[in-house]
Amino acid sequence: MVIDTGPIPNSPSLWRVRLGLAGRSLKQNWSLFLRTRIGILGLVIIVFYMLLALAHPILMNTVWDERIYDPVIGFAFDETQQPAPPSLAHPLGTDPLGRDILSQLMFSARSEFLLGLLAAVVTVCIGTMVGATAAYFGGLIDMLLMRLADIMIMMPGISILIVLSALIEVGHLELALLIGILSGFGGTGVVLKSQALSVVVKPYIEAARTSGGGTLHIILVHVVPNLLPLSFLYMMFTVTSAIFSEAVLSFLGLLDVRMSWGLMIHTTESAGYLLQVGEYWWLIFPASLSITLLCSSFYLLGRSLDEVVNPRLRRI
Amino acid sequence: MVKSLSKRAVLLVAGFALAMAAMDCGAEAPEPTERIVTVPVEVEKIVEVEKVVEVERVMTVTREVPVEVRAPQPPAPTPQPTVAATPAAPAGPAIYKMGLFEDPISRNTWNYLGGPAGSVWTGYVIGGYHTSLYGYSPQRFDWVPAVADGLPTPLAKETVDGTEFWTTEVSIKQGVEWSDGEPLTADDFVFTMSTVRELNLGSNWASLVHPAFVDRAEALDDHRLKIYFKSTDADGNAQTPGLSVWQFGLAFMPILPEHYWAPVVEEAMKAGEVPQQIEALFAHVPDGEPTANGLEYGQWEPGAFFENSTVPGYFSQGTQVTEYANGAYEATNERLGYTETYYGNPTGDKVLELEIGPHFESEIFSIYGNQDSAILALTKGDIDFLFNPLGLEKGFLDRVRQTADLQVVENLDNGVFYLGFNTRKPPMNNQAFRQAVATVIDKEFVTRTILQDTAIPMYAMVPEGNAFWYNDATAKIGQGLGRGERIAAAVELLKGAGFTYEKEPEVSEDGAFVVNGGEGLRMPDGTEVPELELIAPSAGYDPLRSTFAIWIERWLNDLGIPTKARLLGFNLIVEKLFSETVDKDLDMWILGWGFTIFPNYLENIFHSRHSPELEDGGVNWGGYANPEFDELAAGLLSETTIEGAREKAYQMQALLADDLPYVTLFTTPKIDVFRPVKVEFPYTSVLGGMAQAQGLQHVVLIK
Amino acid sequence: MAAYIGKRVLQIVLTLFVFLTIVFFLVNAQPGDISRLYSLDPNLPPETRAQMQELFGVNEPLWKQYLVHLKNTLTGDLGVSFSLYPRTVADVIKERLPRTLVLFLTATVVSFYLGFGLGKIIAWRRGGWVEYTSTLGGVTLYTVFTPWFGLMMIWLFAFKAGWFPIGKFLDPVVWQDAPSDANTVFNLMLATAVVLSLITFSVFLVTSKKRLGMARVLQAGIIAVSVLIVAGVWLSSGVGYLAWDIVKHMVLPIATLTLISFAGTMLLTRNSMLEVIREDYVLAARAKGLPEKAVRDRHVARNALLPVVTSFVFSLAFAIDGGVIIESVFSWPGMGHTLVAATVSEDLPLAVGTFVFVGLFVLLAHLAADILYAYLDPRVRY
Repeated sequence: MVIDTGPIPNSPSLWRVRLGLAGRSLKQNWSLFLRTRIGILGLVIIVFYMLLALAHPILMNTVWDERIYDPVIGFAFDETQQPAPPSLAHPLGTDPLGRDILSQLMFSARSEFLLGLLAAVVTVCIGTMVGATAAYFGGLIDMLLMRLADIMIMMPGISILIVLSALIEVGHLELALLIGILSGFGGTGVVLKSQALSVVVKPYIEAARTSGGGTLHIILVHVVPNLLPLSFLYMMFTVTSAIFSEAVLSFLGLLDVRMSWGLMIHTTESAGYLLQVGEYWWLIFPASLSITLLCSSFYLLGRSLDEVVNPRLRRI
Repeated sequence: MVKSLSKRAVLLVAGFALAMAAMDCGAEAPEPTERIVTVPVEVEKIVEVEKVVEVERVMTVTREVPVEVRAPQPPAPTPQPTVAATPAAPAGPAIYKMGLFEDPISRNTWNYLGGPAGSVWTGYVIGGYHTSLYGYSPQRFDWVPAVADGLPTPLAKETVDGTEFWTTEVSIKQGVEWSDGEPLTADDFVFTMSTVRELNLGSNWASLVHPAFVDRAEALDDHRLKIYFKSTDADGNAQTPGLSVWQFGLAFMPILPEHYWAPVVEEAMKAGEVPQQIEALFAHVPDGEPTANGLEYGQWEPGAFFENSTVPGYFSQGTQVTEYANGAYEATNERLGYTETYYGNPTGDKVLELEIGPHFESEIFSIYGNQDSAILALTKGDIDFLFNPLGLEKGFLDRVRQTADLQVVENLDNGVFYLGFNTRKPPMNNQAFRQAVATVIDKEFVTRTILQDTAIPMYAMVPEGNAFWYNDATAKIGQGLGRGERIAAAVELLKGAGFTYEKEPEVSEDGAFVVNGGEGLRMPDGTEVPELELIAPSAGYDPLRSTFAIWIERWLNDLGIPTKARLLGFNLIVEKLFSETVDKDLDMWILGWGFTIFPNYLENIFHSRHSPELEDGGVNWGGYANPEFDELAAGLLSETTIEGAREKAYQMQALLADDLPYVTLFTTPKIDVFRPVKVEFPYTSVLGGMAQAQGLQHVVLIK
Repeated sequence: MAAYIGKRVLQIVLTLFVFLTIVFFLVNAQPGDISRLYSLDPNLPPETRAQMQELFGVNEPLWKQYLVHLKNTLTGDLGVSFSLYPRTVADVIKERLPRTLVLFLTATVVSFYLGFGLGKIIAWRRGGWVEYTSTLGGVTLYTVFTPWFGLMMIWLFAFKAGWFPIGKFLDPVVWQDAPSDANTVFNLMLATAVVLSLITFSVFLVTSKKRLGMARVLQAGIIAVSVLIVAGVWLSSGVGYLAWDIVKHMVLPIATLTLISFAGTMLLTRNSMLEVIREDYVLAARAKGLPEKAVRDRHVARNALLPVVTSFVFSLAFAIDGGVIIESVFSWPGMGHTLVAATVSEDLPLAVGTFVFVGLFVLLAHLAADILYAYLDPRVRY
C-alpha cells in the first residue's frame, strides 16, 4: 500500500473544518436526541452507574475498611450470619460468603464499563476499516471480507464464546477482544460497508484520488470520518451485547473473573438462593437488575442515536 | 449453571458409580450408631471408588479365621423387625421417584465400567442390576457374601505346570437365577473375568481384575470356582495379591450373564484389532439383558426419564438382614433357605434390621437440567429423592428445611480438598517452606467463619470420617493459632531453614492482622523467592476452593512469599497438571480427591513412581519423591492383613502430615433430602451420603 | 434467477468449507485430549490409556484428523461422540434437533407475530404512551438477564401458581408404557407445524388480492378448518395425549422466549414502517381516502415486511444459539444444551458436529432469505 505523504500537512486544517462542522451538527443532533426521550432515560441510567463505578475506589480509600468491604476477599465480621440482610453498614446486605453486595456492585460496574467500552472500540475500529476497505477497493478484497463476514455472522455467538471459554482462559480482556472481532468482522463491518459504499462514490473521493491522494490517506481521512456517526451507533449495541455475554458466561461459571455482576448471580445461584425471591431479594435483584438496566440503557441510547443519525426515522 | 453441573458431573464419573456397582443385594451404607460414619466427598472423581469397603469389618474376615456360623437349616423364625418392616401396602402401584441432573450415558455394563459411560449418573440407574461374589452389607459396609456361598478358602500357593500361583476357591449359592430364569453359575464369573482379561479392559475393570495379579479362573463345577493369581510380577519378583487385589478387587467384580453376552462378545471379537473389538462391545445396546439383582431395564426417554422395574423371583428379595451392636451380621433367606452369620454371635442389641427389596414395582429417575428446578420438583412432590452428587448448598438447604414434608440428612464424605506443591522446584522443595505455608493457612477461619461451616477443616490425608484408617495422631500444623502467632511461627520456620528477610512481616498490636507484609524473602542459597503461581478452580466452578485460594494468596503475601492466585476452569487446571512441562510450570495448585475406603490411594498419589514424567498419566503431579514413603507405600499394596495395612497407613499419614507434599484443606459434608411422607428408609446415615448409596433402591419402602 | 441462486449456492459451499476448517482447528486447539479426562483414575494402567487414545483416534497427527473430519462431514458422518460413546454424533443430533426445532420454531413464530403486530401499532402512533411503554417494556425484556428471567417465570407460574409443570418436556408418569417414544411424537408435531404453516402461507398468498374484509373471512375460515382437521387426526391417532403432554410443557418456555425476543421484531418493524411511510404511494393511498387501518396494513406494513421477514429467517437459525440458556433453565435437552455439555466434557466430535450443524442451518437460512428476498422484492431482478 502506498503511503502518501503529500496531503498530510493540510490535514490539520481539514480536521479543524470538520470539527467546526461537527460542533454545529452536535448541537443540532443534541436537540434531536432530547426529543427521543428514551435516549435520555438511557443516558441517565448510564451516568448513574458511571458514578457508582467512580465512587468505589474513593469509598474504599476513605470510609470503607478494606478487610470488610473488599469485593472479593472482604468479610463482614460485623454480621453474625451470612448472607446478612441490608443494614446501615451494608446497605444492600452481604452475599453468602459474607461480602458486601454494594461494594461488589460498584466494583463490577467499573469492569462492565471497561469491558463494554473496549469491545465497542475494537468492534468499531475493525468494522470501519473493514467497511471502508471493502467499499473502496471492491472486487476480490470486498468479496473476501464479505465472505469472512458471512462466516462471522454465522458463528453462533453465545455458543462460540462458551466453546472458547473451555479452550483458553477467558477473562474480561479476552472477552472484549473476542466480541469485538466477531462483531467487527461480522455484522458491524457489513453495515458500515454499505454506508461506505455511498461515501466512496461521492465526487470528493474521486477528486482526492485524481489529485494524487494515497489509498490509506483517502480511506482514513475521507471515508472513515463519514462512517463515524454510524459506528458510534453500533458501539452502543456492542456494549449491550458485551455486557450481556459477560453476564451469561459468568452466570454459567465459565469466565475467569474474580467479580462481576454475572458472577454475583452465579454465587447466589450456586448457593441456592436464586428462587428465594422474597427472603433474599438483595442477593438477586441488585445484580440482575443492574445487568438488565445497563444493557437496556445502552440499547436505548443506540436506538435514539439511530433516530438522530438516520434521517428517515425522524418524525415528519 | 448447567455448565457447572455437567462439568463436575463428568468428572465425578466413573468412580462413584462404581462404588455402588460392586455392591450387591442392595448393599447400602452404614448407620452411624456409635461407629463414626465414613464420609464421602464428591470431588472431581479422580480416585475411583469402586471399593468402598467398611474396612473395620474386613479385618475380621481376613485376620481371624472366619467366625462363620453358616446354618443351612430350615429357615429360622422370621425376626420381628423393629426398625423398618415389611412394606406398607401402597394404594396404587408403588413407584420410587428420583431426580437426576443428567442422563445415563449407556446401559452397557462393559462400557460403564471400562469406558466413557462411567458417569455417576449411569451408576445410579444401572448400578442396581449388578451382583458379585462378595459385597457390602447394608448400612455398615460389612464385607459379606453376595452370590458366593460362604467365605473363600484362604490364599494358598500352588504350582501348576512349573508355575507358582496363589489360588483360592469360592462356592456360588445354589438357586440364584438370572431374571430370564437361567441359573447363575461359576461359568458366568469365568466368562466375565476372561472377557475383561482378553480385551484388556481399562478403567474400573482394570482395578477390579488387576492385570498384574489376576491370572485366570476356572469353574470346577457349576457352583465352584477356582481363581489363580500370579505369584511374581513382570520382573520376576515375588508378589502377594493383597486385600485390594482380591477381597476388594476381584471379589467385587460384577458378574454378567454368559448366555446373553457370549454371542455378543464373539461377534465383537470379529471386529479387527482390540480397540475395534472394544468399540463393538461397548456399542452393543443390551436390550433384553437379564440381571440377577432384582432390578432390570424398563424404559428410557433420553433427556426426560429412565425407568427400571422390579424382577419377580430375585433370589435375595425378602432376605432379612440383621446387624448387631457387637458387630455380628446375620442374613436369613427363606427363598433359598439359608442363614448366614458372620463377625460374632448374633446376640445383644440390634442396630439395624431390614428386609431386602426392592419394595416397589418400578422406579423412575426424572432428569432435571439444574438444581433449582430439581429442588422445586422435590418441594412440589414430583420426586421423592434427589441424587445430588454436587452437595446441597446453604440456600437450598434453607429452602428445603422450610418445607415441612422434606427431611434432610447429613453424612460425612470420604474425600479431601488440598493445596499441592511442586516439590521439584525451590522453594517448594524445602520442607520448612511447606510447613511455613501450612502454618499461615487458617483452615478453621475459612471453613467456620467465611464458609459458615459448609466445609470441615482437615489435617490428615485420610478423612476423619474414614474412622478405621484415619490416624488422629498426625501433626496438625498451626491448629488453633491466632494470626500473629501463625506469622511468628512461620517466620521462625523459614529462618530456621536458612531463609532471610529484608524486612520481616509486622503484626498489629492485638495480633489480629498483618500491618506490613514481609519483604525481600531470600532462599537459603541467597536467591530471592520468585513470584509463585497458585492455580485453583475459578469461583464459577467452585466457590469454596476459589475462596480458599484467594485467602491463601493473601496470607502468603503477608508472610513475604510473593504469590499470585490464578483461578481457572477445571479442565485447564488438569491440563496444566498433566502437561509435559509440569515440572517447570507448576508451583502450587488446589484441587480435590474422592477416595476409596481402603487407603491404597496414598500410594497412587505420592509414590515417586507415579509422577507424570515417569508414568504416563501418573497423578503424583508435584513429583513428590521420598524413599522412606515409597517403601511404606509399596508395603501397603502387598499387605494381606488389615492390621498390617492399617499400621502402614498410619505411618504414611504421619509422614505426609509432617513432610507436606499436600496441605490438606477441608472436606465437605454430604447432604441428602427426601420426602418422608412418600418414602421410608431403614437407615439414612451412610458413608458418602445416601446418593452415593444409590438412593438405597434395594431397601427403600414406598408409602 | 436460476443463475443468481446457482451463484449463491456456490458461495455458500465455499463459505461452508472455510467454516468447517475454522471450527475444526478452533475446537482442536483445546488443551489436552479426551483420554486425559478418562484417565484421571490413578489405578488406570498406562497401556489402557494408550488404548483409549487409539480408540478415540486422538493419537493421529492433526492434519490427518482434519482430512478425515472433512471427508466424514461431507458424507454426513460426524463421528462418534466421546461423552456418549459409542453413540454417533449424527444420532445424537437426530435425537436432539426435533426437540429444539419444535420449541424454537413455535416460539419464533409467536414472537414474530407479536412483534410485527406491535411494531405496526407503535410506528403508526409515534410519540404516544403506547410507543413508550412498548419500547421500554420491549427493550427491557429484550435485554433482561435471561437465566434469571426464566427462573422467575418458573417460580411464579409453575411453582407459586402451579399452572404449568416445572421444567422438563414431558411427565414420566404419563409416558410410562407410552405407545411411542418422544422423538416420534416430536417429529409428528414438527410435520404438523410445517403442514399448517404451508396452508397458512398459501392461504395468504391466494387471498392477498381479495378485498380486505373478504380476505380476512376466507383466511380465518380455511385456517380454522385445517386446524380442526389436524386436531381430529391427532385425537384419533392414539398418541394425542402424549403430544398434549408435551404442549403443556412447552407453554412456559415459549412464553419466556416470546417475551424476551418479540422486541427485536417489534423495533425492526417499526423502523422499517417509518421508512416506508415516507413513500409517495402511502401519501397517495391516504389521499384516496382509504381507512387508516387499510393504509397501515395493506400499503405500509406489507412493504415494510421485507427486512422483517429476512430477519425472521435468521432468527430461526439463531434460536438454536440463544437456546443454550432457555434449554438449561427449563431442562429442555435440545441442541444448545448438547453443545454446552459437549464443550464442557471435551467431547470434540459432538461439539464440532453440533457447531457444524448450527452453521449449516444458518447458511441455509441465508440462502433461503436471499431467495425469499429476490422473490418478494420486485426491485431485485437478476
